[in-house]
Amino acid sequence: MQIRFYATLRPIVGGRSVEMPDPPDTIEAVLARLSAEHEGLQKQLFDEDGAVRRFVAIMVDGRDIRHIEGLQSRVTPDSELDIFPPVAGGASPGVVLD
Amino acid sequence: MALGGFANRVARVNLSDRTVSYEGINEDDARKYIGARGLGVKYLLDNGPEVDPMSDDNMLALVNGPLTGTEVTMSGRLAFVTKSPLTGTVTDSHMGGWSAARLRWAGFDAVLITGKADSPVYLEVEGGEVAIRDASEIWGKGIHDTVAHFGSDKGNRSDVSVMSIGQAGENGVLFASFLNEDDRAAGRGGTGAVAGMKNLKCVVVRGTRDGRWRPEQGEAREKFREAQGQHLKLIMESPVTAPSAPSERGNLASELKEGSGALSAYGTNVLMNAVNAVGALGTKNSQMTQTDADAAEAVSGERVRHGGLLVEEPTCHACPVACKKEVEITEGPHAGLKMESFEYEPAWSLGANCGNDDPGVIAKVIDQCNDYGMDAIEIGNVISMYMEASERGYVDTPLDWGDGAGMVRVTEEMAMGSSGIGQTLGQGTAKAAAAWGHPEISMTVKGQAVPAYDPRGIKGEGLGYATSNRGACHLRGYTPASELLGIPVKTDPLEWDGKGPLLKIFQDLHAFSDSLDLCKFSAFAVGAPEYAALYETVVGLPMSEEDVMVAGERIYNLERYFNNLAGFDGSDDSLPDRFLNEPATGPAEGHICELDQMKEQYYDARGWDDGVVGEAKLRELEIIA
Repeated sequence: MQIRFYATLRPIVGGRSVEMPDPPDTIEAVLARLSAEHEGLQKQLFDEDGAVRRFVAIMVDGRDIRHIEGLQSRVTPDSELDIFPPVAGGASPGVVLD
Repeated sequence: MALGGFANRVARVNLSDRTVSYEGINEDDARKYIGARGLGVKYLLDNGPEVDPMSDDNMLALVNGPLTGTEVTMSGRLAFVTKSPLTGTVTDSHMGGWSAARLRWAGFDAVLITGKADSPVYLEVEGGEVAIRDASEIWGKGIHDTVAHFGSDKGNRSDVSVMSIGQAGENGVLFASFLNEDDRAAGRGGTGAVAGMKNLKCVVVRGTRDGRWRPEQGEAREKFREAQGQHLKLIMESPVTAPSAPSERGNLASELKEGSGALSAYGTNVLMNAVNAVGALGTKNSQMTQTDADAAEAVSGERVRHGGLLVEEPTCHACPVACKKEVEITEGPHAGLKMESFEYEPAWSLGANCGNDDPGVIAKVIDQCNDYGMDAIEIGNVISMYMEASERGYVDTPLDWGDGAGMVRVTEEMAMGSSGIGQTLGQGTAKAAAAWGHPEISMTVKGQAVPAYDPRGIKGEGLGYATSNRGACHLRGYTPASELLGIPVKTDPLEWDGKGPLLKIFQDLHAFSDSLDLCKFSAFAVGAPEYAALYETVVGLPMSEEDVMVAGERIYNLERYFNNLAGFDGSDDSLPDRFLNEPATGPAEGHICELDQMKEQYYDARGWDDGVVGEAKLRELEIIA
């Protein structure tokens, strides 16, 4: 499985992408393996409580896992993974919705 | 006048009889419409919403906000407000850099320009006075030469700022822009075309920080410092805006400072790969919604920073984020070109949208836009429309997808009006496509071309484009913050339900921040509470979070009222058929943009009747008595 990283995550993993042969079948297990292999990655992806940081985007085949099954989202060796730190370039409100 | 922050001085310049008069700020208007965008639209409304945009009667208003030029972080924005010759709507276009602050330091909240000079002129602003000067020596020059003529430079290396049009504005290109200091653009809506019609070349401003607003000693000063301190703290700590440390050029191994925000480290173009990954990157004039990952990468913010292109990271007045990325092209026909503003929007419009993955071509055409004075979003769209017209055999002189040399050539022809194709394209995407009898290949709303988020892959933006009061625009209500990032909550980009009320919140808050006039990027770190606190401690009037949203709603409705009086209604809140009927590709495969359903929710949230703001709403918001 190829896992692509972006922006401030690239210096941590040392390039654009990481190959993971024989990947496990959930995002949670994939991220655990990646965190073990790349020092500093866990802190970028997870908060102190072990939850994925609020604005980090993890996509499986172009779908954010927040709109699939979260960390339990299933993957296969053919899945495409994209992992983004908080990125933005337009503008946003920063207000709490009702 | 008792309101803080304002200079309480407005210049009215009539170019027809070459007179300048001065007045204070109308306090009631300032309370209701805040400043910059809101106050500017009120000046335009009072000038008459039915004027022909390219007539002497149209007004070009340069308007600051009450925070402009203060110590408040990100307070370096200025609004250009006019009736757009591109759309026929009211429009406001904002520039960063240093001109806004310098205009305030020179003693002005606003300069309101009407009439038409009988020969080229420029305005000289200094010490609370405006003079009309002969511009015959600089007429015909590009913006870079005009800026150099007056000895202007970035930041505090000079005490003079120049806001200028280039040849495009002089030659009637309808999407001509104003820029200051070479590369900070008030890009959208054709403000440069209005200036060119008026024979106005530029506005030269001299001022130093001595002229800035400062709080009085004592409790007022402490409260201001507390509000500004909290504002700055949140910006410095945000995972998006936290300043990055300079890294070694082109060295992937060189580490960014821990906690660097992606916007600071990579600029707006950090979005290129992200938007492509979700399948919302319009490709080849939006015939597809995703390009090859390597093509996106080739022109991305990551490529600029880690691929040896980044040479400098300049900033704006009172901003530690430094999202501007100056690049130097290292290979190909444009090797040696150093330029700024390699932003996400033009990198998309001239990149995937034109079937081009050469960063040198993108840099060259953006720099042409910065010199000729043209909107770098519209330019990519008008070229991609031309390329599709070529592919379909609609034109006799075709331009192929990804033809970089042709893109550079036709950009010059547009600015200079030096060919028939150039003259046609210079009228903008919508008019050019209509002239060729094929409006269906024009990706525009109300005559203005779409930005870099395909509304089939990020549906809230489709509603945002359609209901924007200035034509297609991502900055009126930036729903991708929610749909991609999760601010304030994560919403599904492929779900239409709920996007109406969501968009209204974004539009109202942005209308307020545009009127302060703070950079919108502040909103990745702060929100209504911080805006309210800054307003209170500078202007001196009570302002709650709720008041912020009501003021924003009032400004948005004021714009809509202007447009309704100018003849617009719900039928103009539309999208190109391509987004409504041709399914997306990539991860959003099969999706269209469900505009009608979203519009219904949106109009309910707004209290509008088919896109028209009614008398009851106008009274409720105190727009009319």
